[in-house]
Parts: sequence; structure tokens; C-alpha cells
Amino acid sequence: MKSRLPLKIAYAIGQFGWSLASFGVANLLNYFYMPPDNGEHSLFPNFIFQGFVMGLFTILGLISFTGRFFDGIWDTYIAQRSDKAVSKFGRRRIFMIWGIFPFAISSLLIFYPISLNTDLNTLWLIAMTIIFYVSMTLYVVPYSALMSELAEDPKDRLFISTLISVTWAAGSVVGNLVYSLEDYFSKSMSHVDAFQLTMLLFTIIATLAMLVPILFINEEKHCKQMDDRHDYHFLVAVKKVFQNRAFKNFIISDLAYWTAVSIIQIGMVYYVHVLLKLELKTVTEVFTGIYLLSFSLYVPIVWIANRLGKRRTQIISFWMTIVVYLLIACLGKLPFASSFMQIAIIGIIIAFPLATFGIILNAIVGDIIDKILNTGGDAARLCFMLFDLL
Amino acid sequence: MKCGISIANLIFPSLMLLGNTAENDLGIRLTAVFSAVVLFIGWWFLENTREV
Repeated sequence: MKSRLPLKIAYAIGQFGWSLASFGVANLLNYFYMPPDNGEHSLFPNFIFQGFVMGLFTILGLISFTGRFFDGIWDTYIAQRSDKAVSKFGRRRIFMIWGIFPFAISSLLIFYPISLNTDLNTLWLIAMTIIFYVSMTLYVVPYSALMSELAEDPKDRLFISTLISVTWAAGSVVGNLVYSLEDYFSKSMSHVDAFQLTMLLFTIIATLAMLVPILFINEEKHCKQMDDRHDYHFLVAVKKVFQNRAFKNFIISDLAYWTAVSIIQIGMVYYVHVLLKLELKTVTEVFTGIYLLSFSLYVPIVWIANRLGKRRTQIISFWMTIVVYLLIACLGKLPFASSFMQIAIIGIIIAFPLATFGIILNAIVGDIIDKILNTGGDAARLCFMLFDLL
Repeated sequence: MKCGISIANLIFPSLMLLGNTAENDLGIRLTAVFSAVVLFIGWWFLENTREV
């Protein structure tokens, strides 16, 4: 039963795998299907219809939005099915086994349009997106549930949680190498081939990493057998939580944060390559710098949050992020620094809010839910799930 | 979190259609303006939340 360090590392490697496998769909769909054009040439041809649909949206936007949204709902369903499952492989591992290969393959094929016909490519993209989100949930939800069962006590859980934060970030850092690798490979092939080759390499690495917890963690031997019979009244708990003004306000501010931070993730390549006319590989350098700096700020931020309070620290982070976006809107036109310095300044400022939200976001929600429900357990867990969805 | 990511995925490509090239970069700049406005709304709600 005792969860030894190698087992925890094996578990955390799975996080690296799914972080890398999902990186492309989360961050590169716009890059590939609506490529940046810095005036020299467009990196990729138009594989899908580029224009407004219903006067306001795009095909790509609607596909991504719908996929993400239903992913959240599907998550809850799979979580409950996994809790109740009985299998000789274990109730978590069996779902992970079903999910891993369709997840990995669809994460690659989403970037392999099948023809020059944009309608056919759109249908292909829709099909691959559905398979991607369904299979990702099959792997990720049971994988996440495994953490509590692998940990021996809250301290152990915190340790594993820290490990997977590190491996998650490592997955993102490797994912951001895409720009450098594409730049490198494109010296001997087209940009499309270079990008697809990079994604293929990522898929192979991600699949091997996601296999590690499946192969090395035996649920019967290494995990606590937890009783997940649901004795809560979920709707009662949700109603109670949503009647709380603090929780509602926090949900809205969290929604705003995630919308904005997702845009910087998706948009960085446009800011660097089009607005600043820097090379693609600079995007990799910027993101790597941001992640490393963000990590180094974890300890100071905990200290600041203890001194100022979590909410006040969040407010400071909000204002720092607003400043970052105002600077981004003026990139290439700022008179006081070189192009690289402009993006470096943005990276240095954004590292603080990224670290802040990474550390104290869940802590604040946990405080609110604890205060309202005055209990932990399943109700709190489902409220967290709801929070994650919103 | 997922709703936020969904909204970003929905809005971003629409703004890109307003200009995502070196000649016309309006859409790219508007993604930043849009994010700043969204964050301002988020800040307003957080400002009106008491410390728990």
C-alpha cells in the first residue's frame, strides 16, 4: 500500500504525457488553421473556411468552443462511471487504457487535414475534435482521481500535487518547443511537414509518458481502496454554494482570468511573429522564460499572500495582467525598447500573475466552499468540479 | 476554467478575421484589448468579494 517515491514519479510522468498530448489542441489550432503572416509569407495554406459564420464566429471557433464545453460535461459523467467501475485492471486504469491511444492519435490527426477541400477538412476536424475530447476525458479524469488514492495522507497528496504541477509545466515547456523545432525542420521541408513532424514527435513522447502510470501503478497493490458511494445531495450543495455572493463573484472573476490567459497562450505567436516581426523560435524562448520565472516566484508569492491576504494578492495580479494586455496592444509601436525587450518585459510582468493564480486560486475556492458547506467530502469535490467546468 | 478557455477559443479566431497580418494587425491588437476589458470586469467582481 505504501506509495514509494518511484511510484509517485511514475504517476507524475503521466501528467507530463497528457499535458503534452493536449498542448496542440489547446494552443496550436489557431496557429495551424489561421496562421500568422508577418508579411513575408503565410506559414500554412488555408485548410478550412476562413470567414465569419453567423456573422460573428468562425468555423474553428465554434468547433473549439463546442468541444471544450462538452468536455466539461462529459468529465462529470466519466468521473461517476469510474467511481462505480469494477475491473481486474482497476477502476481507474481500465478507463485510462481505453482512452490513451484514441487520445494520442486524435491529438495528432487533428493537424492532418485530409484534402484541399475545405468542407471535407472541416468535417474531419469536427470528427477528430470529438474523438479527442471524449478520449482525453477517459484518460484524464480517472488519472486525476488516482492521486487521492495513491497518496497516504494530506501531506503526501500535497507532495504528489506539487510533482504533477512540475510535470504539467514541463509538458507545456516541451510543447512550446514546437516553434523552434518547426523552424529547424522547415530548413529541409515545407512548414506544414515540419509542423506535422514536430507534432508526431510530441505524440510519441506523450504516449510513452502516459503509458508509465498504467504500466507501473497497480491499483489493488498501491492505492487506497476508497469508498465512493455518493451520499451527498449534489444539487443541494450547488444551490447552497451559488447562493453565496462571494462564490458567485469569484466564479466570474475566475472566468475572466481564464478567458484572458488563454488568449495570451494562443496569441503569443501572433504577438511575437507578426507584431514584433521576431523569429518563430523566439516564442519558445519567451514561454520557457515565463515558466521558469513563474516557478521561481512560487515561494515569494506564498509569503506575499500570507502578508497581504489571498484576495488582495489576486487583485494585484489582475492589474498586472491588465497592464500586460495594454502593452501587448501597443507592441511594435512602443518607443522605449527593442522588439525583444518589449516581449521580455511582458514575460517578466506576466510571470507573477501566472504563478499567483496557479497557487492561490484553488486555495480561495477551497476556503469559500469550506465556509459555505462546512464539510469536505463528495459535495465539496463536486463543487470543485463545477468550479473547474465554469 | 473550461468555460473561460471555451470563450477564448470562440472569440480569438473571430478577432483574427479583422486582421492577422503585418499589413493589417487590427485583429491581433484587439485580442489584447478584449482581454484587458474582460480582466477589468473580473477585477471589479473580485474587488467586491470579501476575503474569506
